[in-house]
Amino acid sequence: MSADEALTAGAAEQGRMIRARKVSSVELTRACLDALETEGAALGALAEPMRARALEEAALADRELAQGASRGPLHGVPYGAKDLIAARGAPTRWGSPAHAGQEFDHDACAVERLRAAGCVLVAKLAMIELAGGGGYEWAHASMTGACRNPWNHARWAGGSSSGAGAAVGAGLVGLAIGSETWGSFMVPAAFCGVTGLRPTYGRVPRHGAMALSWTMDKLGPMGRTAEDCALALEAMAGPDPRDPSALAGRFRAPRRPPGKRLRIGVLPTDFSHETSRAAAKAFEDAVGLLRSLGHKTLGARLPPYPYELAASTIISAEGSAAFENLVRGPGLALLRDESQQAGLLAGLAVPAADYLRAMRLRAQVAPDALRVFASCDVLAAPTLLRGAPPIDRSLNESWSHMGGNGGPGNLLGWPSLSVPMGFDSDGLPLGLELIGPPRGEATILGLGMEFQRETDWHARRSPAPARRP
Amino acid sequence: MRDEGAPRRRQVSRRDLGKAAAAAVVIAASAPPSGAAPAEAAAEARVAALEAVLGRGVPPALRGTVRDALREHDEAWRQNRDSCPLSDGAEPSFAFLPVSLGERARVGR
Repeated sequence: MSADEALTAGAAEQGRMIRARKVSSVELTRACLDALETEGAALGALAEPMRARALEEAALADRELAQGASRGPLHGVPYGAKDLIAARGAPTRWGSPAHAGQEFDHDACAVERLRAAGCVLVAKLAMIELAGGGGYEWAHASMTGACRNPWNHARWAGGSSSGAGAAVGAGLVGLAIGSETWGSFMVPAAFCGVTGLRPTYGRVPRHGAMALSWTMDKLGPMGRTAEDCALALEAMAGPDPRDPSALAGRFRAPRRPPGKRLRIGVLPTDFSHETSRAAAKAFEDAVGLLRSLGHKTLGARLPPYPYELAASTIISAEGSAAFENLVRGPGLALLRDESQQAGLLAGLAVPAADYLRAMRLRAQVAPDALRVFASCDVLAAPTLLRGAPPIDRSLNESWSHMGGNGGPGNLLGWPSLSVPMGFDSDGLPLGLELIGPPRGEATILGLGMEFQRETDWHARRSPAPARRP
Repeated sequence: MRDEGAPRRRQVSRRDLGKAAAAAVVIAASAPPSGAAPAEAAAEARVAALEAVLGRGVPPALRGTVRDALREHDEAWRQNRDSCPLSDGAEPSFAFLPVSLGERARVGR
């Protein structure tokens, strides 16, 4: 098998190939770097390649394997990290022109742990500036410009973990680490036809990651398959004294589907708009498949609270506080998107009473909303109701009838998995979202594995690669 | 850590806050009392207060967007505040946890 053939496999499969000596870590790493530096750059998915460090780590992985030492299922597997995750040897610019000279001399906890698991960091991946904390109107709200969708280069890859979605979707890397505060993970995962896991708040320590919203930021993996995400989460999860929000306890990746019948609560979704037809059909088929596998489906509804308002108030206040120096200084004007600038300014004017009301409400809502899991094990809904919008159109105009459950999911810190479930009429990927209770990653990942054992949406490849202009 | 884009933090003085409050009062008092105008004037007052705290004007190109964002924020809370009442002075703590306190205690933190 050639390294180029191995390139489009998921991280778990790549790990098996490396351990079986079908491809070496150095060969695969080199293929990843070559693809990222050409196709990745043309897509706008690449923030910074890390060739020297990557080849050094890959050579070490190969030497260890030759000596009979394997660090585990991800030994020697290349991956990319969103450019808000610190790593020695490359700039960490947070996608922001105002932080163009920024470099850290340490690795983020997630990078340390993936290295300990044998993974090879090949590149920093593009992102929306400052993870879009102030809100943004344009896909080009990034110092690397707009990130193109591998399925249609005239469409957007989604954000803010744009490069992670595009790079995995284009088959340039089998695993990427991104982040979500609200939508930054699930949106690019759905738009790019990849599998993305937003873990429970606190699951993955955030030491070394850019802080946008202290009480809502999460780090997590994107891969080809639920198995890729499970293995990466197993490597990254667990307490870290440098992040007091990190949850205790390690995470053990499920090695196979659940093996028991689950109760799947189907969240209400408004499919009435004509642009939702393809998502309605794909979701109906997905739920039908889960039912045919023996799982029970039932209607589920979250208690009515202003989830979105509370979430947006918290992100606005925390985001502007986290970047107060920038907002107060001349650097703000360097940001590419005026909506982002205005949003960060407005966040400084959110009354303390409103922020505290949102936080108090959140604490009150959390146990009430959790009761939905008394009658079901997993919640299901379309990740979004449409495929990716045009890359050059204002998101204020194109982001309509999108649906999604990011408001409650992120406010409550619940884990969520997006797996490919089909395509819209333009041939753009659609995602199925599986939401679990806190610490419920094993259940949603197991169900995702089962879904992917029965479908091949995740195995479809995007069309012709992008070429550097 | 190196952050070349970040200026030194400017301290907010009591005088800043006083000026901001005064600006807010002046603008709110001069607002016409009909229709959507009070909300508009209140948002405008908040922008003025923000400018006083910042010690500089909000760039003209951003001013309308900032004002609209604040107005929409205020309006959203005005519509939703009563739908989720919170009791005065009743909670021992409002720390948000994604897991229950019992589970957190069980797993060691």
